[in-house]
Order: sequence, then structure tokens, then C-alpha cells
Amino acid sequence: MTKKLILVMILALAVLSFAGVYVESGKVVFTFEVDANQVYLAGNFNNWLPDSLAMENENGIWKISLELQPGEYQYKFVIDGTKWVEDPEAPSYVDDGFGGKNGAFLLIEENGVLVIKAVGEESPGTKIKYEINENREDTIYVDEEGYIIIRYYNPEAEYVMIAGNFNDWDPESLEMYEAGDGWWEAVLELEPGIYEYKFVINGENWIEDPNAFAYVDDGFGGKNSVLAVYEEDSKLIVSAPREEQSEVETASIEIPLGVSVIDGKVYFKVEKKEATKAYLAGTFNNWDPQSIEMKNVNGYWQVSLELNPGKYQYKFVFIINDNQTWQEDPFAPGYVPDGFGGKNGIFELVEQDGSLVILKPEETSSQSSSSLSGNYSFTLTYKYDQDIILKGYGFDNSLNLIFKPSDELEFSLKYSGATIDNAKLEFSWQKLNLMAHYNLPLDLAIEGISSGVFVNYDNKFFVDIGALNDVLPFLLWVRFGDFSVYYGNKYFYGENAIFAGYDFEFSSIDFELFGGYFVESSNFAISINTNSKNWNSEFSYVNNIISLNIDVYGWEIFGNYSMLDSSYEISLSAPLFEIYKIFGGYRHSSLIDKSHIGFGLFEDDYSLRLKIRTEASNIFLDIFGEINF
Amino acid sequence: MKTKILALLFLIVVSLSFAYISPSYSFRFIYTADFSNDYPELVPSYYISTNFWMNASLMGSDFSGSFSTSGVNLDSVELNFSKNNFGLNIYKNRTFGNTNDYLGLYKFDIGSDGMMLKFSNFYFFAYNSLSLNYLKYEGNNKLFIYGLRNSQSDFLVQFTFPLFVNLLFESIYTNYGTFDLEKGVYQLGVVDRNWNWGIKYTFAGSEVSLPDFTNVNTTNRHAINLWYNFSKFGIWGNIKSDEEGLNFKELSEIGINLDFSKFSASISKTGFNEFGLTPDLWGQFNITINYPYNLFGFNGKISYSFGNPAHNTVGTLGEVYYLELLRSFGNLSFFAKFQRIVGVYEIRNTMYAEVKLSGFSNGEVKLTIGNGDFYNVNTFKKIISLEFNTWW
Amino acid sequence: MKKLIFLSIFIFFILFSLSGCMKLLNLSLTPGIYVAGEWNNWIPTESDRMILKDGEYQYVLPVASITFLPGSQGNIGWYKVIYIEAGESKVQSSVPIWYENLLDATVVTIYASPNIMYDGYAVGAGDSEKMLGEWYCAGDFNSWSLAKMSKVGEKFVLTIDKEVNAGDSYYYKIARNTDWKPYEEQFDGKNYNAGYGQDALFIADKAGSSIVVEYDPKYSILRAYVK
Repeated sequence: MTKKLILVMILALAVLSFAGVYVESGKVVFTFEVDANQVYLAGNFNNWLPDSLAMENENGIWKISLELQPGEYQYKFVIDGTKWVEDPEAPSYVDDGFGGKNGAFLLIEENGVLVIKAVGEESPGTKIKYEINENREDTIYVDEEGYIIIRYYNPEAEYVMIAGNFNDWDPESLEMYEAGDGWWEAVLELEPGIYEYKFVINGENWIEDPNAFAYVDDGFGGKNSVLAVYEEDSKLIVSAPREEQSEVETASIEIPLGVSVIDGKVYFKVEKKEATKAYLAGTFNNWDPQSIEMKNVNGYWQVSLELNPGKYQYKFVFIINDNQTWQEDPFAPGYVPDGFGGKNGIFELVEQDGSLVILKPEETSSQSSSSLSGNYSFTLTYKYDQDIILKGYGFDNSLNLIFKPSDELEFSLKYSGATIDNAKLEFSWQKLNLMAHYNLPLDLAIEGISSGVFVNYDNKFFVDIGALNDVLPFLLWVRFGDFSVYYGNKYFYGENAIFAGYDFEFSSIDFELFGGYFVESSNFAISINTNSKNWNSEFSYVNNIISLNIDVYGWEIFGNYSMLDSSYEISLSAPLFEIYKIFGGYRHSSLIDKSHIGFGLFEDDYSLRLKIRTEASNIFLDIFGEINF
Repeated sequence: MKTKILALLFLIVVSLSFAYISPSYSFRFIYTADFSNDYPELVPSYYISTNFWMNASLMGSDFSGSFSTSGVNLDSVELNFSKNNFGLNIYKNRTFGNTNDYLGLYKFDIGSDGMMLKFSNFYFFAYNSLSLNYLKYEGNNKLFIYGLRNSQSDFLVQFTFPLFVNLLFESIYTNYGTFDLEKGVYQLGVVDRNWNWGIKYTFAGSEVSLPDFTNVNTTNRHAINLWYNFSKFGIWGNIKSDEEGLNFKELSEIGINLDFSKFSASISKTGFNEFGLTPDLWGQFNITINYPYNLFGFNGKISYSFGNPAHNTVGTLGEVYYLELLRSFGNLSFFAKFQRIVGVYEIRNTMYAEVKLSGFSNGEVKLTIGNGDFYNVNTFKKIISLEFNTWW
Repeated sequence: MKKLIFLSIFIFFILFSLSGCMKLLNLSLTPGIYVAGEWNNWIPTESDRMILKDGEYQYVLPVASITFLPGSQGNIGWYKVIYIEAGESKVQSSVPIWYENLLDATVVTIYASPNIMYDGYAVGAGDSEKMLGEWYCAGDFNSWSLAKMSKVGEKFVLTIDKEVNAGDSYYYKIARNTDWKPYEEQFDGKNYNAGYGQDALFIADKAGSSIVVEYDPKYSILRAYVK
């Protein structure tokens, strides 16, 4: 009897696992649990393209949300871009025309809220066809205690299991008992609904019930046995599925993972098997870690709150082996940093047409995106270590943001490390261009002062004025056609300097010449840049350093040599296929020798590079890259 | 040295790219009147603080990411790159990493710098701000972790056998010096497929050397956890010994949770050495009754608990009374909670109240009195604050 | 109506049935100053009385009799000081002892000064464990980056060079390490185990060029002033 009881309890709970498809914040969310590298969603909403809708892996559960109009939808999951599988938890199924099934559901708007219904409840056109078994023996019945008993005759079998949509078709979880004389018996506790099942003989042969009420195509060329459970006068009865079945939503309320609103209450649900207790803390209870205890319902922690419209942040507090662990909701509608490097789940509760709805925080803030662009770069450095192989050595990053609210105005900011590193504000008005730059030298052949105010009139007259304690550094330049003349007052290396530039074309090669004279130190500087269709080069001699940079068909060579201390540097980079590059380099100075070798991926909007470098006897690994947006 | 084209006037080359960014901003202005500081004279003090955040999420062809800035600081960044089976995540001041094991080998609750490399089901985590690197394989019902911490390394093996019930096995072994089974923690369990009931046995060796960031409890050499949870009724028990494998009677605990539709109750008892007639001889125990109510338009919770220790902050026998009120009038909502702890020689009263005006399209105003964290602070904090919160 | 009846019965039940228990257990200690912790089940006896020595109340607690449990870093044990006087009693909030910081010390000396104690705060009593090891201080004045305090006599001191005007206000807190761990030993001038949002507040009473933060571990006094 205890065995029976346990079996019954497991069964009762198995049918309550969470749905594969649900509506959240007006979007349809598909979830699928599978071990895979990448799962895609395909359906009649994207012309069954197998790789256009990539799902995201959140703790082993693949997830995607789509904005869909009300209508009827069919879908399948595509594992690793090749293997098509149906959703084991789909609200309903339809024949896919290839002997299999598609997950299917109807999206209906009820009182302004989207609801998912099983196909077949509302539209008779796609109803599942049941084949009624005319000559059956009565082997299925409900006992006095309300359990459903299914008997099966097979004297040859060593053991028989039952598998069906009530236990996720698990062939190992539900054993049938020997009832004597070759009869086997399964005891199930089932809610009203329509179930499909098969027997599994000796763990390998899947067989339909010869005495089933009805059959349905199993999608593999065979048949599933069908059993319908109805409630009449508060008693359960079993029969074949009835034609006029119009029951709405058999499985009571299913609470999705994350935050949801059901009947005006806000539900929180999360999975954490290893926790012995769980609490909910957030701005609604001032982050008290123990005032809202969550309940364990079938392996999920859940709790409901009555909340007023507003914006709330929250976290879960799990007690794991007597330790308090704070954790964000992996299914939160949005996140904000918690100030400690972690994040809080965030959601906004609004009243729409008299009922509460959860809004995603991002949805309110997309209008400003067009005026914002920029890039982010990072360098993550590890040092080789005997014990732990990679020892964290440093993390440098910088974020460059460019706001362009209108054509006339541009503002850029660069965050580096922990604070604002440099900034630029730019106004354009007809022929006049005004710019304030902070910690950011102008992009000239020779680096000048880093902060100042720059004026450009008609791309002909230019001036940049900086500020030093006791002098006024400035650079003036004038451009006539291809010629330009510069005068810098304490602008380059704190010296006065005169420069001239000339741009010309010769046998379809663009030349840019630039040269000048530093008044105090009597040093010369020169730079020659050439540009052609497939190659370009840059040569310069500035501040006693000679450098040369050549780029031919994507091969890049760079070298420099300092005449002061005889230090030099050389590096080479070569393209590989279309988007990869390998590179290496060597640097020598009187103090230290450095060398590096690396590999990189260069896409239009991002690059990722890996570099191994040596410095004296140390070996470092750099992972660095840049993204543009 | 910069060697770029001379005539270039715009300083930063921004590629007009295929990625997009969606920022969101929030700004908080808080005015606080604090009457609890500057001991020994408690004088009122006034404080204004502001808090500006920008959070942005990025989406590109093969990457996604998010970053946040707080005031003038670049606070935290997360980037995810993926191509085919390969994935790379970069973190700056973010909490990341998980072991997902039953014992809880590593726990990460504050932000770190580092990266996660993924290939198929293999994950490699390298931390820049912690002395830790680990490799994880997570498959169906199996988990392997190999972690490196300075001169020690951790091995974790975990299997789940989903049969008629779930059979669990986990072992964590920390390697340093010579091999010794006492350097490991081992767990065996039989658990219902929905985790509604189960039994787990954990053995913790005496030479275990785990980091500070762990959830593994090594203070009990032997521990058996039992639980049975069903909708209206739950019972649990922990049979535990100390580090030497002794004192089961003193450390073991048992509890019952009851859920009547109108109210819920829970009873727990720790240690079975002592027992007498009056509560002072009951040893460690707790009885709690929770009653959610809805009366005169207010709803909330009343709870009463009687136990030893009475509360996180009070070590002795005592009672805790707790009342919560919640009511809203349109866009105006009112929330208050009260707590009274009666210990053997200390009585602590505290309360917290909040009035919130919402209903602005992207903002709210909140007036609060007191400190709401009753778990850690049991006295009323004389502090009033007015908070303006906007986001766009 | 049914609800109302139920509620009143419930409240009645709470107030009159079990609350009676507490009255039976009233402490019958003679006035004095005591230390409570796990070793005496948090109910002090005559043997837990602090002794007046060199003008201060002291109590020598053997490390072996403290119950240490794993904390956020290392192991933590707790105690509190109770001052009982006719008509008035002051009970200190719990104070942590960090086992790993004791190194090879076999006793912890607890100090108290009843006249500066404040009911419900940790102020007015401290111990020798707090005098060992390092203390760090962070606040609005140094962008919340924990800076090591230097030991001057029995106190820990941090001087921050900063131009201050009268009325400027700063939140701050002290901790044991640059990562705030063990969290249990964070102190906000009122209570130990001061979590997020629990900070000390300093308001400059005059203008000056530096702020001095001073922590006296003997009596758990944290204060700041302008120099």
C-alpha cells in the first residue's frame, strides 16, 4: 500500500510541471530544457527557418520571447541547427505532415490580456483525431479511492512499465504490478483530462494497450493508447475522449518561473533544489531577508504578494547548508546593478484596464537609443602561475559613449577604469565647428596637448587653444587646397614649432606629406603617408623616433626605432581566412625584452583577440577586444 | 604616437555598426533626517544624496552585453560572445559563476572580474579578483568540477540517477599534500522526483580545506537531512553530529510546518539533551504562528513566535510579535510593520512605515520612517527619509 | 464577522496564553554588570559578573568556552554585556569575536563602562580581540575605498586630508579587511554586523583641512572630528 501511495503521489505531481509556452509581459515565452549547444525556435511565425530564432540558455533552460499577434501557431525546436524536436510541454500538438507532431497553441486576447489555449479547444478544424477501439475488454476502471487502474495481459513479460504524457513519457518511472495469471496492473492518480500512454515491456518494447478506449497517431508511425478522465458528480470516470469536449484549460493555474500576475496577486517562483529554505526580499519589504518565506511546491519555491503598482527590485535569499545566499531571479523581467557587483531583479507593475500587468523596464526606454553610440574595449590579463595556471593580473576597460541628440551637437564621454577618463563636446553650426576636448589630444600626425578648445571654420581655418599654468599653448593652422601650414605655440612637447603639410596624387597613389621644425631643440619632424588601392604606408620621424607602418593586402608590418636609446619594436599581422588574423611582435629596450604572439577574430561590429606575451621571464595571457555599437 | 590621416577632424572613429544599444537611466534623490547618529548625543542630522545610474544593454551579431555606470564611474560590465559551440563571457565587477551542485562548492555573492569560456558543455571560469579558476562539465544528471586555488585543487563529482526516485551522489575532495579521504565531503541521497520528500546523508572529513566562498558546511561530521513536504503538512529533521562525530543529541533538530487555510504554524526543536516542563527547560525550540488577514480594507500578516533563541539578535528565550499593515488608496499606498521582542532581560520594539505615491508614468515618491531590516536590527532607528525615484 | 472573531481569538491567544511564560522567567540578578553568551545560554549567572579593576569593568573569557560557528570569513562567536541596576538596565547588542584573529590567544578580555552604554547598541563595551589585527575605514570622504587605520595607543585612527566646511556630512563605516569581511565585524558606531545601509554619520562642526576617524575597540566607540 505504501508503494501505491508513493506512486500515486509522484503521478499527481508529475502533471504539474511548468508549461513550455506562456505569456509574460505581453510576449510569448518559449522554454525548453535540453542539453545542447544551441537551440533554435522555428514555426509558422518565421516561415520555419531553422536558424533565425536562436534561444538563450538560462541555467540549462533554453528560452526565447516573441511578440506575436493573436492567432494560431505551430512550432518546433531545432537542436544544434539540425535536429527537429517537438516541445514535450507544448499546450497541444498537431500532425506535422511528416509523421511527427508540431507543438501548437492558440493565442487569444481576453480582456486585453493575451492568453494561450490549446489548439483543438477552440478551432474544430485542427482537432486531434481519435480512433475509437470498438472491440475492447473492460480493463480500465476507477477504484473506490479514485485511482485509475489499467490492467494489461502479457504472461511472457518479465516486467512492464507504463509511460505516457502524465509522466513525460519516462519509461523507467512507473512500474506495473503483477496481478497474477499474466495480468499486470498500473495504479494512477490523474486529474480530469485526456492522456496518451503506452506499455514498455522488459524495458525495450513500446506497445499500445490492446484494450485502450481509443488510439491516436504517435508521430512515429505507431499509435498511442488514449484514456480520457472526466469528473461527473464529483466522481471520476474513464472513457474514450468525448466529441463535444469543450473544457477550458485543464491544468489549473500554472505559475511560470520568475514574476507573474495571477488573479491580481504577484507570484514569484524559482527553482533551487539545494536550498532548505527560501525567502523573498526586495524594495517591497525593505530587503528584510527573513520576513517573506517562500513555500516549496513540487520542487519550486514560490510565494505570492499583494502589491500596488510601482517599480520593484528583488532578490531571493536561499538557505543552503545553513548559509544565507542572496541570488537574483534568473527569470526576472529585467535587472539593475545592486551596487555590490551583483544585480537585482526588477519589474514594474502597472494597472492596465483594471488589472495588474508586469512591464519590462526596458520597454519604456527605447526612444533614446538612436542618438547614442560608442564602443567598449577591454583587456583581461592573466599571468602564468605554476599552481593555478592562470592568475588574475589585471582588468582594464574603457567605455566610450557618443551622444548625438541633433546634427549640430555631439557629446562624447570616455569612462576608463573607474572614472571618466576623457570627454568631448562638439557643436556644428553652418561652417563653424566648435569642440571642447578634455584629456583627449587632437588626432594629428604628432601628438599635441590633451585638453583644449578647438575651432574649425569651413575646413580652412583651425585653432586649438589649451591651458597650462603659465603659458597659453595653441595651434593655428590654415589650409589652402592641398596645402596647410601650422604654427604651434608650446603645443607639441612644450615647444614652439612650425609645420607644413601637402597632399597630392601621383600615379593613382595618394601622398600626404607633413614636416616641420621644433624651434627650441632644433629638431626636425617628418611624416609621409601613402595610400593606394591595395596597400598603404606610413613613415614618420618625430622626436628622434623613426617608425614605419606598411599594410599590403591585409598584411601589416610595423616597426620603430629610437635614436636616443636604440630601443626598437617590430610587429607583424597576417590575415587568415576572412575574419581571422594572426599576429606577433618583438620589442627590445635597454631594460627589458618583450615578445608576443596572438590570434584574433575581426567582425564588423566587434573584435576579439588572444595574445600570449613574455616580459623578462614572466608569461602573460591577454584576452582583449572591442565592440562597437 | 598617433599616425592617422592628417585631415581628419573628428577625433574618434565610430564605425556605424550593426549593433544597437538600449540605455535606461534612473535617478534617485534622497533626503534623510537621521536622529540616531553621533553618539553619545543623538542629534538630528540631515543628509542629501543622489544616485544616478545608466544601464545599457547591447546587442550585436554575435554578442550581447550590458554595462552600468554610476555617477562618474563605470560600475560593471558583462559581455557575451558566442560563435558556433564556442562562448566567451567577460565580466567586470559582476557576480558570476555557479557550481550548481547540491553541497554548494563555491558561492559567489559579490562582484568579481574575470571571464567564462564555454565549449559545448564545458565551462571554464577564470577570476581576476579571486584566486580561483575552475573547469566545469555539466551534462544530463552529471556534474564534474576541477578547481584550482593557489596550492590546492578541488575535485567535484556529482551524479543524479532519475529512477523511480532520484538517487543523488556528490563528492568534493580538496587535494593538498598526500591523499586522505578525510579531505573530502561526501553526500548520498534518495529524493522524490519533485523533491517533496527525501533523505540525504553527508559526511564531512576532518581535514577538509575549502575556501571562504563556499556553502559547504563542514562543522558536522555526520549529517542526515530528512524532509517530507505536502501541501498542508511538512515535517523535516536533521540528525547532526559535531566535527568529531559526537553530540548527536545536542545538535539534531526537527520541525513541523502546518498550513491551515486561515493560518499557518511551524514548530521546530534543536537538541534533545534537555527537556523539562517549563519553557526555560525546553532547550532550543521555536513555535511560530502566521495569520494573514484582510480587515477593514487593510491586509497584512500577524505573527507570533515563541522560542529560544527568540530572534536572530536576542540569544535568550523570548517572544516575537509581528504585525504588518498594507492599504492603498488609489495611487497612494501605505505600509507599516511592527515588531516587539520580549526576551528574558531585554524588550525591543521597532517599527517601519512607508507611504508611497506612485502613478507617475516613470517615477515615484516615497516617505519612510525607521529601518525595515528587522532581522539584523531590532531597535527602532529614528530616521525619516524622503525619496524621489525616477527612471526613463 | 467570522474573521473578526477569529482574529480576536487569535490575538487573545497570543497575548494571554504564552506571554505569561516570560513573567515566570524574570531574571533575579543582583545589580551589576554581566556578560552573556552561548556558554551560559545567554542568561548570566553570578559567575559571569564583570569585576572592577583599574577603574574599568573587566571579564576574562577563555577562548575555549566560546562557541564559534562559521561566519562570512572564518569562525565567529558572540557575546553581550548586560548592565543591571535597580530600575534601569542596559543590554548591549551582540558583539562578534573573530576566532582566526585571536591567533594563539587563550583568553579574551571584555571591557565595559556602564555609564556610556546605550540600551540596544554595542557602544560602551568591547574586547581584546578588537584590539588585534587591522581595522579599515571607508566613507563618503574616500569614495568608500577601505583604507587601513593606524594604531595610536589603544585606538585605531585614520586621517583623511580633505577641505571640510562646517555642516558637511559624511557616511562612513569600519571593517576588518578591504573586502569588508568578516561582515560580522563591520561596525557603524552603533552595532556590529552593520549591514548594507547601516552607516555612521559624521557632520562637521567646523571647517578644517582634514577629518580624523577614531575607533576605540575597548569600548566600541567610533567617532570622527575635524582637525
